[in-house]
Amino acid sequence: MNKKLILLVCASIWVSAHTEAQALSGTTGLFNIPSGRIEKDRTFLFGANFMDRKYGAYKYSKDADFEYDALATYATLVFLPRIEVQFRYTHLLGREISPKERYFPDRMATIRIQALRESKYCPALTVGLQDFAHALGNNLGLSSPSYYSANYVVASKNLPIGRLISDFSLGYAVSLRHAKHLNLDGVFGGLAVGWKRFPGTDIMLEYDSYRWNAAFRVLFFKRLQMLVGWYGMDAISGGLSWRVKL
Amino acid sequence: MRIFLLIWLWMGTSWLLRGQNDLTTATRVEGALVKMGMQNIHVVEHDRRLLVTYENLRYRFGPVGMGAVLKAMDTLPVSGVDTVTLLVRYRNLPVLAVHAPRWALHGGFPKVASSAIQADWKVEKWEHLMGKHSIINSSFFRLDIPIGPGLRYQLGNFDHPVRAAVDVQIGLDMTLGPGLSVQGLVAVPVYNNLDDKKNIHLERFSVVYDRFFQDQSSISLSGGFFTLNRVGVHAAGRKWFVDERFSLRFDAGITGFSNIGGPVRFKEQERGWFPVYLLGAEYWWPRYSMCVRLTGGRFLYQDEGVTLDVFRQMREFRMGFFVTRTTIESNMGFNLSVPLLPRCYGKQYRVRIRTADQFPFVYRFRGNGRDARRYGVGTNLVDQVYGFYPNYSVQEMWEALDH
Repeated sequence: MNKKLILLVCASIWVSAHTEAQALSGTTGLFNIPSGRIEKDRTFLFGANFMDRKYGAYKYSKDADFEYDALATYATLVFLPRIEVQFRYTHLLGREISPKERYFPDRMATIRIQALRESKYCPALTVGLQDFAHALGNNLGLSSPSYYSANYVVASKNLPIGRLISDFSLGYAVSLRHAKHLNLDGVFGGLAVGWKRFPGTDIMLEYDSYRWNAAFRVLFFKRLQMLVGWYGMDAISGGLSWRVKL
Repeated sequence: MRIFLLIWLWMGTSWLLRGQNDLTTATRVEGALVKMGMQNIHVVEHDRRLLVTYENLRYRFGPVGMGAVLKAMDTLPVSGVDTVTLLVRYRNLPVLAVHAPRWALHGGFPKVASSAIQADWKVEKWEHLMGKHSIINSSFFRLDIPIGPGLRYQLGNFDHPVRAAVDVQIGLDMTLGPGLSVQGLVAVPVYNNLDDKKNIHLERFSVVYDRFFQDQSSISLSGGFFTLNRVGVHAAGRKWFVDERFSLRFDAGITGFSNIGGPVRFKEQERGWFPVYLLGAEYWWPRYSMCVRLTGGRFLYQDEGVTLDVFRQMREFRMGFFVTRTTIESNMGFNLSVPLLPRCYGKQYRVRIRTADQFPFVYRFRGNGRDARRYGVGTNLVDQVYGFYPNYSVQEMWEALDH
């Protein structure tokens, strides 16, 4: 199965490319991993991503692991040319918000800072704190449970090959505090490939420190992005986002 | 007889036409500004400089109005003028001077280098040159009624996780004299499972007096019924240094509880007179139109502490973050202000109904507690002054023209 998908990705190299786009987390990246890139200054995005219960949701209270599919709704802003911030609510689909269930959607704030811009030989390098209220909570007196925490550094390099654009990302994620779930933990990396004639279209293959994923995305009218992927190569997830320049 | 009649007609019409051509540049510009819907207009020529003063109540965003005025100059047959100076007004107070060489406006503005147009706060000199004048299309005693949405909410309590109150907010705004205005806000509830304000109620009603001084300082005095059911007086002032980059600010007020605005959620809010005193320092980063502000002192519910605000003004969209630490509790969150359509309102006659400029939204991580709270006194120059920052205004005018 995996070999077939890898072959599919390689074959699709002839089809598409774009490097600054939203990942499943809602920040700039591939499918489930971040990249070292950051969108242009003043770019504002909002969207929603469906995450399959098999890998994408979290264990909540006394529930069985990943009993519910999840829907992440988010707004992301490039606040300064090298700083991207995001606020996200992740809802467990089908789970009732009630005093009995003692459930409320998970909220999360993310900040990403680009330390290095990409140059001829140097990759773009970005440091990210996903769910930073959890990472810094003790210092601010703002404790918070964490289900999607990730603290990482990631580098991305664009390598044009003829009519193709290939974008490599490689990063490492660590746990700053004891989070219930880490979205990334250890080495992760991936490749996005597109065709210069169809900017905004990518095919991606990645390893998110837990499993391999494959995905593709298309940007319509430079505004609407559609992302579809195979989480762990067998669980379909994805979503839509809309972007504007403020 | 017919010949005499024709000669008489020819003489008469040519006199009229000559009269049209004899219209002064100032009269032409005044006519154009009235047609555009600008207010508090006066135009004079002085030493090959055309001094144009106006107040923009037509365009939602001031720099857009500024660009429209300069564009209008380009299309008019302006002669004998080397420089055009715009003196932009706020409640008929001059607050910003914009200088454009005539050549920069000639034949295809805005296709000139952006550096050709400069702005500053040295307004008194130009105001003095204009002398005592009667303004055209005065904004005094005209009622503006901006209507917009209002939202209060509380998220996250497990016993009642999503609570919200949605109102239609009807504003009342009238300029009474230079810098003097009366302002009000009435809330019409649409949906409410948050609190007891389920009937039409008054949010605020106040008289505001603004002054802007030549030495780059400003003061606003307010009195009346403020938001959060407070009645009293409030003073705010700012002094800028290094153009608009750095400023110091103070706020001082004393308010008591009033139930004019309906019931309140916390009993503590009904206690006696609360003094408020705050001092703040602010840095404005012109390149990114970003503001970093540190404020400390005593807040409305008598908690003492500091707040750090960082926000960025991206054209009409404002987005920022804050962290507060007071004797009640710590908090953090974000706020944003989204402009509402349309970009250009109808002309203001005796009464004008329009949409509100902005929809403000605040998200507080730890909910809507009583920490670092401040009442709203209405719009005043001390808070609205960002729209008159010299570098920012010119920069945004170019951005708007590019789009």
